[in-house]
Amino acid sequence: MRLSAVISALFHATIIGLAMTTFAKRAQFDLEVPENIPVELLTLADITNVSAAIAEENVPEAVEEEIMEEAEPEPEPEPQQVAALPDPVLELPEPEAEFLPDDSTPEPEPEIIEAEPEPEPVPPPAPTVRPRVRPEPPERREEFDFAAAEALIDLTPEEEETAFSLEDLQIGDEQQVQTAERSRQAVGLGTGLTISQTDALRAAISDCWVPPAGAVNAENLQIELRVRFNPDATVRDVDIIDFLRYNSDNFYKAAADSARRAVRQCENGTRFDGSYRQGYDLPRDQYDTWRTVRLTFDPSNMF
Amino acid sequence: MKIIGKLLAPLIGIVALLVLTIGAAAQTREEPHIVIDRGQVEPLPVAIPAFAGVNPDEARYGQEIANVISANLERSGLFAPADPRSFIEREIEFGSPPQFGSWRLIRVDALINGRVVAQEDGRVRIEFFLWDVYGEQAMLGLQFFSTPEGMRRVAHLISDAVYERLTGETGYFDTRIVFVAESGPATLRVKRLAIMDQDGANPRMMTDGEFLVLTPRFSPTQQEIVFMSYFNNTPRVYLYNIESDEQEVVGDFPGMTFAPRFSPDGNEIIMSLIEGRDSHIYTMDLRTGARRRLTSGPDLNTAPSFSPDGRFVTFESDRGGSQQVYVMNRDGTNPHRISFGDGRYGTPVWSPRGDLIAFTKMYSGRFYIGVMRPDGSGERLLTESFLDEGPTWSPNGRVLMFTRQTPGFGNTRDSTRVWSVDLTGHNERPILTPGDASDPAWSPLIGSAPRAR
Repeated sequence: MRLSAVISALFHATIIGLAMTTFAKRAQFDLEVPENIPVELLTLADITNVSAAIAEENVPEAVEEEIMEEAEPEPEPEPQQVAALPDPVLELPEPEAEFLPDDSTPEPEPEIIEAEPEPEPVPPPAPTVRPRVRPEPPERREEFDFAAAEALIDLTPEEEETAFSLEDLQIGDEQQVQTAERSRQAVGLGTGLTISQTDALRAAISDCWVPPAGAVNAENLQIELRVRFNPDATVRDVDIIDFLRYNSDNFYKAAADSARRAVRQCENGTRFDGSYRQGYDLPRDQYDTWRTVRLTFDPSNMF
Repeated sequence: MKIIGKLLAPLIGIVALLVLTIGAAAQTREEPHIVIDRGQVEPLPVAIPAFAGVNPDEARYGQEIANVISANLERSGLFAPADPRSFIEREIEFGSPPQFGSWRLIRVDALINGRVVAQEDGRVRIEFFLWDVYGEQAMLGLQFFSTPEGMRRVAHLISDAVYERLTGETGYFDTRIVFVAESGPATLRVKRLAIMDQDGANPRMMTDGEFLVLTPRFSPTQQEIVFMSYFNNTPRVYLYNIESDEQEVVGDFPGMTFAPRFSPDGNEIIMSLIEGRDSHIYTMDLRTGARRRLTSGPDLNTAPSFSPDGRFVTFESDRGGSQQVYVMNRDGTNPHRISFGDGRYGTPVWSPRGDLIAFTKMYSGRFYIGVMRPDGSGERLLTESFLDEGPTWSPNGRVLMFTRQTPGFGNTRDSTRVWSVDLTGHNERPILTPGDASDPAWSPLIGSAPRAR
């Protein structure tokens, strides 16, 4: 009995061992892990709760106006420490009859300066109380816009901004809201950027990207950047991945610079509905999914 | 039991390891990858404050340099210089980073900050930095020495360096235009050879107008121009040395020679020669005088232009029954038609980049300047008017100049002007010339500006 148990165990171990050594090797080549496609579900509860949460009669016009005034934007000075810049290299021209290089000129020393506190651009006041009436979709939208869907989701009041509490709600409303919150959090949490989030980021950066026009062989000018974000969805730093080409190809260098400028330039901006955003429209509670993003800028279809 | 335990222990370990590995793999996330294939085609906003100067002369030079750079960049259509009245930071310490935030507020992407310093020997030192406002770093820093008279040229060199750093392609501001200056009534037109900077500054007449001149073309070596002149009422191709003001006839051909152009190395002239009722394309070696006929047959073949590598020649010919553009090898073999659109095609000119051939198209009583690939594909018409003709390329192959004739109305007479258009076709504008002008030819870059690194 004991012997047969040992033999059985050995046999099983051999089978498992063989399976691990042979199939595992093959799996390295054959196994393709399909990319997760996170989806965003706009449930009925999401939409109906937003509007049902506030009784229209509880929000008289005057109150809304008052809140709007209170929400008058206060520029929040956010001193930005300008990082120490690399020594600006003073490149001297080739010696010419008219233009002689001056070797005696000391290289200007860059100073670390503190930039003027930069007042934040004035955000349009966000009403802290949402009207029951669903906002009219903008007229220029002709087809379904994922960015618009994103904006819809943003309409859900956040806790700290909410001027009313769950206690203010009727019992039925509270239950509905809680159900809706649960359903939102459960959907595709933390598995990657959803299509609409990706689309919103792409649209925001596209708005600021002015690639150099007229480059020769523009189809070979794909620029890859790795962007690291801060938790508030502002840009921490941008790396140009193909740095060798950056240093050897002037067209690539100019195009890569334009891409890098675009990423930094559009970190704050205006959404399609006119509301102001500080940082990109990325879900703050899923920082891990977009802490680092790889961007490929491809101007080949533009010219 | 002990044996079983000993056997099971590694097995359990292996299984645990397997579970952990699979778990870790599941946990690993690929960073999101987004492709951005749309952008904005609009001029890049740049700020060009007057270059700083301590004394009034330095300040005046500084202002002039900033004005020339600003006009150059704006004229290119790729840049939008910001209005100086909008600048918040008025004084930037040279060499120190500017207050980038204040420049971002007025939405400029790049800032050129320079200064002018008079030297003890009478010369002037001009130096500048090009700052990336959003990247918060210096993109370029250069220094020039010049006499006060060379200030405009330094401004052109700076424009070229900035243009190259921000677009990746070589600039074209430190160049000149040779053209035919026209004056007088239509029946007694005086045509003189003239030259000026690409922005219209420093115009100079090179001939006195006694004899008709046509089709001037720059040599790649810059010192010479080849053109056609009716000197002593005999139309011939001449070489003109810009520095010495001397001219000489090219070759001793029996008939009329016209439509000359240099080879890319500057050692040969390619041109047309009238032979009976036909015209043929010849090359002539300027060093040995050896000439060679490239075309044959009873046709009109003219307007030849070398490809930048010197291996091919594009020309116009009526051998197919109508005026069309052809390409052949430089020895005259394998001539083949490349223009197949409606209408007639003429004056083909190969781009210095080699990727396009510019041409004049005549269709339905209108004239067009267009471009096509050397195989005839991708035809694109950039301009249209009553009469556009004779395109010439900027040295970087991005901008075309051409002659535009506008018919007069009532008491106003026809006007002939030089216009420019870039490859996008959007940036079309007249070039300032002293009076009427035609037949422009763009020089190569005069000097070698320091290349942006």
